Amino acid sequence: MVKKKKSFRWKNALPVYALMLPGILYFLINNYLPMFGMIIAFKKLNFRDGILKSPWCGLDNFKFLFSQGNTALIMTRNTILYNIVFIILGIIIPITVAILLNEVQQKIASRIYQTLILLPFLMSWVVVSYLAYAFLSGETGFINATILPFFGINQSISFYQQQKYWPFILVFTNQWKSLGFGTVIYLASVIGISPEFYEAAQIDGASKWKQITNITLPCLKPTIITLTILNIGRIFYSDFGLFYQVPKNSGMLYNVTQTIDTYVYNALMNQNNISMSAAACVFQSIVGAALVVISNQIIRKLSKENALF
Amino acid sequence: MGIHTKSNKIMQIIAHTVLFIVSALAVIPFWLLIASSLSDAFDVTKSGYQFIPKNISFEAYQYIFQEWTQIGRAYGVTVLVSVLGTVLSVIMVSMLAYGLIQKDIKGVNAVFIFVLITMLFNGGVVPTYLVYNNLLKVKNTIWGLILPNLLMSGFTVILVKNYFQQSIPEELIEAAKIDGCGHFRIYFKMILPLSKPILATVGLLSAVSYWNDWTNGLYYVTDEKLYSIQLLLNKMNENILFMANNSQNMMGVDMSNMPSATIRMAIAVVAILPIIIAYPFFHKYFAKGLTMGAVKG
Amino acid sequence: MKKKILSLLLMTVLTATMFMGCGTKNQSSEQSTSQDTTSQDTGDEQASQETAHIVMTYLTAGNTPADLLKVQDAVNEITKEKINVEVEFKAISIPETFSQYSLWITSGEQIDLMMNAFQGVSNYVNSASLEPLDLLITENAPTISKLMEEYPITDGTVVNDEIYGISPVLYNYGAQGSLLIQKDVLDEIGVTVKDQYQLNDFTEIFAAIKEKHPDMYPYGIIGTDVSAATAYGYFGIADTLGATANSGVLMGTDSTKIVNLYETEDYYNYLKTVREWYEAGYIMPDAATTDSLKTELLSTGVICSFPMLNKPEMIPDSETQYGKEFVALVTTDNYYTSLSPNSGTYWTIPITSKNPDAAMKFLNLMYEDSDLANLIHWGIEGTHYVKTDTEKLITFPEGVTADTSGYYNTLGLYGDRRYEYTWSDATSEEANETFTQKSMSNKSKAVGYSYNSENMTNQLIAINSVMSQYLPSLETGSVDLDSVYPEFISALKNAGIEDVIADNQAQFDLWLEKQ
Repeated sequence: MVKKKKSFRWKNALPVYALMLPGILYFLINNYLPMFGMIIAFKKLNFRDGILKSPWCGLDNFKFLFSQGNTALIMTRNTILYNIVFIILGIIIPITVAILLNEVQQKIASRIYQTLILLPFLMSWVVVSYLAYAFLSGETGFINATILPFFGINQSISFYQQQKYWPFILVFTNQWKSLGFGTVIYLASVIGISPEFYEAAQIDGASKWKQITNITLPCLKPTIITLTILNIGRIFYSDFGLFYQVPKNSGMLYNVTQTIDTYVYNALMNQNNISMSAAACVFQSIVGAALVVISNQIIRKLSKENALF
Repeated sequence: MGIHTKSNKIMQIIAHTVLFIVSALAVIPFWLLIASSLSDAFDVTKSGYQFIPKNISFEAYQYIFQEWTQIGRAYGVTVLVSVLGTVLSVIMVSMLAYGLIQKDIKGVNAVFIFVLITMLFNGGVVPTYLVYNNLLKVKNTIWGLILPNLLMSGFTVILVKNYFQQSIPEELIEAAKIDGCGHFRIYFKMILPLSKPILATVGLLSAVSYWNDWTNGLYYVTDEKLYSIQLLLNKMNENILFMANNSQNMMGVDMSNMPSATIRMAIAVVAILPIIIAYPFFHKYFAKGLTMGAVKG
Repeated sequence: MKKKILSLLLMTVLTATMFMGCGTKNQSSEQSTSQDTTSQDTGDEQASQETAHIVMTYLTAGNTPADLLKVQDAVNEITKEKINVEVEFKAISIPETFSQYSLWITSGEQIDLMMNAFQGVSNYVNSASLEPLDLLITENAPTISKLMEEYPITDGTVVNDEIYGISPVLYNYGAQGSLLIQKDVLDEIGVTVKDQYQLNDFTEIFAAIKEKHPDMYPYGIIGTDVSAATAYGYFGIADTLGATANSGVLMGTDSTKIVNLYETEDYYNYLKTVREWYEAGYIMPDAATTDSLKTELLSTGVICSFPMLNKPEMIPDSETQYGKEFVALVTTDNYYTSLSPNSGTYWTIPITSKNPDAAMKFLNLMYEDSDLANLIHWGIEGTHYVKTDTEKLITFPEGVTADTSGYYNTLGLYGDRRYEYTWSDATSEEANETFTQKSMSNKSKAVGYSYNSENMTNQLIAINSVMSQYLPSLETGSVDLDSVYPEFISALKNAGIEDVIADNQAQFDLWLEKQ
């Protein structure tokens, strides 16, 4: 009996393993093998001896991340704060838009809106930075050359030299570009909600608002939690294009635009130092991993079924 | 019922207004992009970017299309890579995600943790390069453009897995199992058709990242025949900038006729126009996938 | 569980092969080189049987010439006969070299001759990526040995007393700070050109231009000019000691005391003047961050001048580059200082070379045989260029232009440039001679020395990031000097510039003693 059960299990399990195999192999090659490269972060690289035989150097390669007291603080603060804002807005705005899209009764209109909103997502950050420049440039930008004179303001605004505008510009640009995709993800979930729920609610006389708060949002909760935990894991990373190319790496804006990624890039640009970039990578990975585990533990405490693991 | 139609009407007005504004915000910059790519470089430097060009000029496009055979081939490479890569990605992601929902099978949880870890730790550029270049020898092959970017990030796998769990009723799968269907059959005949919305989403994500990618080309391709359109345009732009900014070292390279203010814009248009044109056609299927999912789910 | 163990096993096997792969490759290449040298010692029998195949980087400005393979074949015809070496050109555009070279070396790709253009050798030496060249030169390169005595072609490439790179022999040596200004604009305001200018002299000139052309910004400095290094060098003499100004400079050519350039009075005065210019409207308000290139700004008349190091070929070259006529307003005497690695070009032999001896022989031939150098530089005579009546002057064959030619690459990064053909006769040999002589008579004490910053990497990285934060805005005059300058100086001190300078001074003193 026991034997029979076991063989049955294998028959059941093998196809599943087979289905997972290509993915597992891919992760092994693409993600796990390079992880061994992390040892580079702890070595003083010497190509004559090869990577393995190069001498160890402890945490020396990490020092550059913290060698400038204030900067380390500013870049960490910027990275985390922007990411928190992005995570929060990245929940509110796309869900609002997805719900509104779902409400639109004319199918054609809904489709046109969807198409247009997704457009910015199709572009790379480099192109976005050209567009931002076309609007913001002090001499030739659309705002300074056309809009302000139209309102009779002749004093042009030097956007790339004044910090105060950038928290808004960066958040706006990020939302502008990512809104489309967020909407698509949430829309897939919104559409997936069984219409019976709404029908029942309508019979009970619930208003649209009530339907949204009592049916739609709770149904979206798992998606929201998953995305949020995943984003928290990336809280020490930043979109290089957004923080480097869009503000044109303007030194005058560093206080509000410098993130860990852009600092590492600026610092190592002329260095060709593989060990130090590996060190930055290790640092971000470890802190990110810790944050994910912590936030997952918190969610596990609050509602067990929604935790990732 | 009256109250509902009223609240419905208000909802319609709000929805249309908000969505109209959001859509307009998304489109306006594109207009500026195209308009400035068609402007005279002189006008742009002198009087700024305009929504309606003062003088129409195709100078920038002429510069880009000097070597139109190369551009044509680069488009070909990009389309091939995007299609092949997207199909492979979607298949691999969904197969793995299907495995991950089989909680009762041994080892599945371990695989899930295995997937999670890939999202947290990152080997970095150089080790990845070593793996692909020295171990897999993808240099100067089409695989150099496809493999490193296969959209097998843990993020998508988890996204798809969650969709399977939430939107495909477990009873359906159980019933199929009782009917004697094997996992392969369930995966192909039930899961794939039922999860079109999420597969369309993942496919889109994948296609866009393949289309916009040039870093893989930078690392793994030196043969000009395998240049993708983004790589080609990116190199063009980078070279122009480098030559112009290092004039002290770049003596004697004639730069005086380069329409560089508008060329960047033209390059951007050339790079994204095909997807913008193709997108509505795909979107039809995409939207269909979404609604089908809704009806059946 | 089995699965886990299996995957773990697989992983270790794969990784092991990956790292072993690198290791064995290195070993085998070392073995082969030692074999080569021994075979040379015992006699050339073996070598003469087998043609050595070398790979050489071929730098472009973006487009690989269509006829590169034809030229390669022609080159091989010469080299097979003369030194029994066959070369393969590996085309790459200059901006790509910055990221690709280290990847190539890391992955063990065969490169036998590598052109480090505008990137110094020290970072590569610190990671043991390059072969020391001393022995290779004495054994294989008599011409280069001779040239080394006459010309400073190894300046900036000596680390720990070993040579790691060889620069081409240039038309001339030394430089002169200057401001390049459009001739028509200068004529308009009726200025007669003086022998030498002070910063304040420019203020008057700019004011006169601004009055004539209220829309023009006479001083055309932009952020990208100063993103990597200071523009002070165009207005004063500061020897960067074979590194950048970030590790200290010698002010003038007589000094042996290394100082922090950014803290000097001269530098402060320079910033002050630039700030005055900015406030008076002589500099574009957007200068620090503009996307526009100098070519566009010049051709649209937004700017009319920019700083440049003066050399005999500079004006004709700038005129082709920008399509305008220029006058150089000179700001310093002729001088010769140690080279900054960012403007030098060096031939190096990476450790991934399979055949360093053959590479060195080839390099030597490039310096020795002007036919070979001309072939690599300008292509095949009759197809890609024709000679003119003037000696060394060449032009396109009939019906061929720069755009249609299958081989036109103006980056002159090859051997002994004095013997290579030119496309313009604007600079005579004589002019070059006098220029070099003048420069050499005003030679910095540090010529031949180059700072090895290996122990100060962290400090220099911190200083670098301070530079990218402050330099573009300060040197375009875009920010208030009184508040930002002290911030800049204290950020530099926090980053450890004083330690770096002390380290540099100690090395320099040792070097001076040896001289």
